Amino acid sequence: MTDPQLKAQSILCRYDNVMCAEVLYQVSDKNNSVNHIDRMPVITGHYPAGTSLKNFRQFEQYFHSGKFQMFDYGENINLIKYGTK
Amino acid sequence: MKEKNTTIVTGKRVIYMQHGLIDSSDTFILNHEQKAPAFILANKGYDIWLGNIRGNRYSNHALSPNVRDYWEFSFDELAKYDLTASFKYIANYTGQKIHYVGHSQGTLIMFIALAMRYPSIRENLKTFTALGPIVYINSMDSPLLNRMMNSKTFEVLNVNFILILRKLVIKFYFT
Repeated sequence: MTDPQLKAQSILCRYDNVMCAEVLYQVSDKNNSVNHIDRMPVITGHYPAGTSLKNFRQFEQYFHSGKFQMFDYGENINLIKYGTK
Repeated sequence: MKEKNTTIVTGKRVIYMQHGLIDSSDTFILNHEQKAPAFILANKGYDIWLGNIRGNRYSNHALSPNVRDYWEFSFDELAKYDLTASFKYIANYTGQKIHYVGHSQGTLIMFIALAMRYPSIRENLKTFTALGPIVYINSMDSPLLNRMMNSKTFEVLNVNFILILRKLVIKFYFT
């Protein structure tokens, strides 16, 4: 247990693989079928591996705009960065 | 990655696999040997490269993760710098064109790179396989993420707050 993530995983999924899968349902989608319940400790020991908040912000922008576009900094900074609003 | 019970041979067909959002290269080798995609392809005799984008646990940390600038990246930067750099490195090392396999965010950054027409990718890409491709996400099914998006969670969250939280968690829980 040297890797901090393994320590984090062990609280979440130490006792109940099914509950672990239930959390994964919430994150992925309703019709998801987790067919490797026995692998849950391994999967959750590796899965959230980190990314940036800005990455999620762009994800959110994709969601709200429904468009495939570059990061929206707001009109003023967009003018400087991209040359357009 | 090389084929089982073999030594590394040059001239094999190159497959570059890229993981999804908040994931790492582990995702392709998590399952048993008969089911994990990277193992299956390696055993078929392909030369497998597993990519990691910045910000996950395999990052080299050229900048300290405690600095705000470290986290200043989104899909655009991942496509512009990380993906092109991996392509250049693999192409230089193997001297071959690359078969790209992306999953989720891995496909998204490739779609961005193709839309932006980055030269290193145009020159070195042979095929592009998209697993669970993402371009438009406004109709996703995930209940939790839908709720978070609708309440604009990530727009409200502050980077400095998360950095402080991160430090506290590491200090009190992991040491």
